Parts: sequence; structure tokens; C-alpha cells
Amino acid sequence: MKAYTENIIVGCTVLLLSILMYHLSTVQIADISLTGPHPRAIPYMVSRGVTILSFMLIGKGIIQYLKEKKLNNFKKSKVKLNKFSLCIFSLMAIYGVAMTYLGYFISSFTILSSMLLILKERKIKNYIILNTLVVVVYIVIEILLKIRLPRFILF
Amino acid sequence: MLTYILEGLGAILSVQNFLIMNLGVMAGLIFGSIPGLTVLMCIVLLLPLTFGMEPTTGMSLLLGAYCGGTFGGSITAIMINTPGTPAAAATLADGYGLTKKGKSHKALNMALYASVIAGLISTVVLLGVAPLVAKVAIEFGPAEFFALAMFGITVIISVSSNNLLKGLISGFAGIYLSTIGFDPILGIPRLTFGNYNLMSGINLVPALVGAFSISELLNIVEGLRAEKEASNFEAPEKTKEDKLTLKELKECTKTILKSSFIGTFIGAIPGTGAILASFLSYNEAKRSSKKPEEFGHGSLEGVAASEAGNNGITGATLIPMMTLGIPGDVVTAVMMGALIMHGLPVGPTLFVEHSGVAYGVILSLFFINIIMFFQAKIYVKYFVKVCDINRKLFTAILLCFCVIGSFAVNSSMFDVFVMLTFGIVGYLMLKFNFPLIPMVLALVLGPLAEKSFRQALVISNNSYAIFIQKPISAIFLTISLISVVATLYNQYKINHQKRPGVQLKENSVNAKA
Repeated sequence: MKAYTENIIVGCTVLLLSILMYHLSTVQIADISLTGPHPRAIPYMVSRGVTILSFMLIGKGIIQYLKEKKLNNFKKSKVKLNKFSLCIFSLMAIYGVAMTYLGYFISSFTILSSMLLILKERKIKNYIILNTLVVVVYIVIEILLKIRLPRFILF
Repeated sequence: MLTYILEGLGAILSVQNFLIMNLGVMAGLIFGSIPGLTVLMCIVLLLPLTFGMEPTTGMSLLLGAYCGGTFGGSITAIMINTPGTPAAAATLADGYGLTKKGKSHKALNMALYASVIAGLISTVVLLGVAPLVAKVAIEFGPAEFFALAMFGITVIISVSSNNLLKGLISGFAGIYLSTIGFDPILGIPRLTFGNYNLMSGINLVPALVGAFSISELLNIVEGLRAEKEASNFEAPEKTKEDKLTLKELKECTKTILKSSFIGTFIGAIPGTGAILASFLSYNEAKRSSKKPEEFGHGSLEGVAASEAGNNGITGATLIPMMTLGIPGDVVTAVMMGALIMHGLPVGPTLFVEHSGVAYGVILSLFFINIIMFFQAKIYVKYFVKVCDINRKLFTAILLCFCVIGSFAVNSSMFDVFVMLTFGIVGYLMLKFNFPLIPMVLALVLGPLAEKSFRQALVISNNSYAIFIQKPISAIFLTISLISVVATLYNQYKINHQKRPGVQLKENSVNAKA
């Protein structure tokens, strides 16, 4: 991807988000005002501000394109999305969902060990350390600090 | 004031508190020593532990990690030429230069003395200045608080981003997110989608944990694939020549004191931070040194300057947070979140309604610096070994702590999903060069800004003149405007210099010269 394309795409995405923000401010905030500014005042102000900034970002991308076209020297964008990181993030999301339904112990043992496996950890010792730590965290948080962790049937 | 100090001492003088401070410092030193792991991550990991503690004890733990981590970065910078924290980058050239000359212990000791002295000076300034600022701030009305919040947001946007446009978008996004929840004046729900979890707004702790720790964790994971095997570093043995003498310490005293004050001053300004403080102190020490040629090649003065500047901020960053409710950086924003979690009002009222806690927190910094001195003296050579820690294992542990930390705030899985959402948004924002700090700090300061703005307009009968009629408000709004204009001008200048035509012209002028 070229640098100017990145600016234009990001600008367009921000523009769409600002429109969504404006729409949500209208739909999600009741039209009531007793005295002083309306409850929608700040959300409206912010979404309008973001709209202006998104146009500026798009404009920046267009100017960059025209300049680089003149010199016939197009810069490349440095943005690289790593699929592996996104895969790990998906695992994190699964961890969150699993904890809701399976409780702290089962989800932590399975998901965190899977994470080590995906990260290609070969030493068994580290799996044991990780799972011991899961138990230690439980003892510290639930027993010592008396903060109830998510539960399944028994744990 | 003496009564308050005694009250504060009463709140922290216990065996349990000292153990907690030791634990915090130890954790901070370990995290600071590991390149790639930040003080913020350490504080995030320790955060859930503070929920079951007294506020002063919890804050002692976090402050211990903060101070320990800030110094810890210098250990690997000196020993293995890798800064543990970004702020330790200024220590790198001189610290490692000394190690190459076989004077690593000398460099480490100088870094330690400079850090502890700077930390203590910063704490004295905090103790002296904070109550005075709080006394003035207690008289502030809505107009002043609005101006102050705007000042905090704009200064942070200006300082923390190379791209003002993206910094502003990030800041605006933070303000928008801060409007979620009950309206501060009318009490009607806004942008909640009927979800009761959102009625009180987005919880700060999960948002901060997600934006900074999860996004950082994803970056670490990316780096893990390319990482080489850990090196087996052996700390060199201490020799007679490698001992820091009193004469050398005396020679650097002036530099340490000057850098400490630079660090303290920089730390008190929201949005600046340790990196700026350490580089400014280093440059000033080089400028005023009798041996500037030694800088960059193993100068003890250079190590002292950057480390004193770096640690000088530790107490000072608490000044705007504790007195005005404006966090100076992300670490103090997490600490502010911890105080709020304990039901404490952060801002000038903290010193009036909870003076024991306020003074207890300040005084704990004294003890933390002393504890750090002894811990570092004893364990310093072992901390270097910490670099060999298994990152894969550490990533999994960190994820567990992030989830538990977010869950423990309200015992709600909703907060865990908020954390994960902020994590992916933070990761994408970093990838597309959007600074995260403006968004998060706008999320912290947004409610204060909006509430004060609307209250001020209600008082003034919708007249915006109230913001310029009040002198303090006018001053802060002017500074905010100046900071934005100055950043725009700087960026214009940088862009102008980058233009090929200008560069050619400059080159020809230089050639002629």
C-alpha cells in the first residue's frame, strides 16, 4: 500500500466513524434540555470535529498524491498488520468468552496452555510453571483478597 | 502541616506496608530490567492486588513499582547495551561505554545514587508544592476546571503525537467515549444501548489495561517470532578500580541536583514524561560540563544526569494528578484509576477530605526510594539475569493478569470485554500511527471537562464570556491555544524543511559556506 492511499483510506474510515458517532448521538440521547447546553452538545461537537479532521486527513492524502506524482516518487506505507497477532487476539477473545461459561480454572488451563502451544513453546517445564501460576493467582485473588473469580460448577 | 504529615506517617508506618513497598520495588526493578516490558505493564499486573488493600497500602505498591521500574531500565542499558525502558536510552551510550571500560559497577552505582537523590528531591517538591496547589485549586469554579481539563488534553495531544491531526482525532475519540453513561447534569442515559453495564460510563481500569497492555502484548507476540535465543549474560566481577569513590560522587553532585530539578519540573507538566526529562538533563549536563568530550563514550556525569532526570519525575507527576485530578502520564492515570476504585475523590478535595491518604501516599515515596537503594545495592547483578526470562511464558501470564485485573474491578465479565475491545482498538491505532495517550487521557479528563463546561454555562446563562472573564481560566485556555498553534507551526516547519526544493537550496547555501 502506498503512503497516500493509507491516509485516504484512514481518512475515509474516520469519516464513516464520525457519521456513525453523529447518528448514535441523535438516536441514543433523548431530546431533553432544561437549562444550559443540551446533553447532545458535546457528542455533536466531537463528531463534527472528527468529520472536519477526517476531511483534512483525506485532503492530506490527496495533496501527498499530487506531490509524489509530480516527482514520480511514491512512498510506501509502513503499516503492516500481523496475522499472527490477530490470531493471538482471537484466542484472547475466546479466553474471555470461555471464562464466562467455563469459569476461571478450566478456561485458564486450556486457553493459556494453547497460547503457549501456538507460540511454539517446547519446554514442558514452562507449561507446569504457567499452570502453577494460575493456581497461585486463584489463591491470592480469591482466598487472600476475597475477590470472587468467575466459576463453572465447582471452581 | 505537621499534623497532616504525622497523620500520613500513621497511615503508612506498619510492617505490612513496608513489605508491600518492598514487593512493589522488586517487581518494578524486575520489569524495568526486562527490555520491552514497561513500568505500565508492571503496574497493571499489580493493580488487582490493590483492590483488597487499604488505599495507602495499594498506592505504596504501585508507587514502588513505578520508582523501581524507572530506575530498573538503567541496569540493562548499562550492562548489556539495551535500555530496559525507553527513558533509559539516554543512559545507554555512557553507561555501556563505562561497562566496556570495565567500570560497570561504577556506572550502576552512579545511576543508583542519582536515581535515589532525584527521587527524594522530587518527593520533597511534591510534599511542598502539592498542598499549596490543592489550596489554590479548592477555590476553582467550573470555568477554571474546564480550562484546566482542556489544558491537560491539548498539551497531551501536542506533546505526545508527531502527527497533530491524528492526535486530535484520538483525543476527540476519547472525549466521545467519555460521554457514555449518565448525563452529568440531567442524569439521563447517553449512548448506553440500554446496557446497564454502561450506565456509569466506561470503566477506566479495563480501558487503560486494554489500550496499553493488550496492544503491547500483541506487539510482543509479533516480536517473539523474530526473537533470537536469550543470551546467557554473566555479570562481571567487581574490582577495586570499579568502585565508585566519594570524590567521583562529589564531582557529579552539581549535575545530579540540576538534573533532579529539571526532571521534577518536567514531571509536573502533564504529558511530558521520563524520556523528555532524561534527554533534557543529559543535554544540559553535556552543555555545562568541563569534559563534554567524554559524553557518549563512558562519562559518569552523563549517567548521573540522565538517571537523575529520569527519576526526578516520579514524585512530580503526582502533583497534577493529586491536586487537580489531571494525570501527568498513563502510569499516573492508572494510579488515579486505582484511587477512584477505592472511592477517593482525586483532585483538591483529596487533601481536605482524605488528608491521611494524600500525605501517606506522598510520604511512602520517601521510604520507597530508600528501599529501592538497598534492594538495588543487594540484588543489582541478579536483575541483569532477568533478561533471560522466557517471553512466551511471560506473555501468557500477562494475559491472565490483564483479564483478572479487569474482572476484579467490578467482578464483571463485561469489563473484560471492554478491556479486549480497547486492546484491539489500541493495537490498530498504534499500527496506523494514531497516538493512544490522547484518547485515554481524554477519556479520563472528558467527564470533568464536560461537567465543568456545562455547569459554567448554566451559571453564566449560556454566556461563553465566563471562560475569559475568569483570569485562571483565560490563562489556561490561552496556553492550550498556544500549545496547539506551536505544534502546528513546528510541524509546518518540519514539513517545509523536508521539501526537496528547500533541501537543495539549503545544501547549496551550505556548500557555498
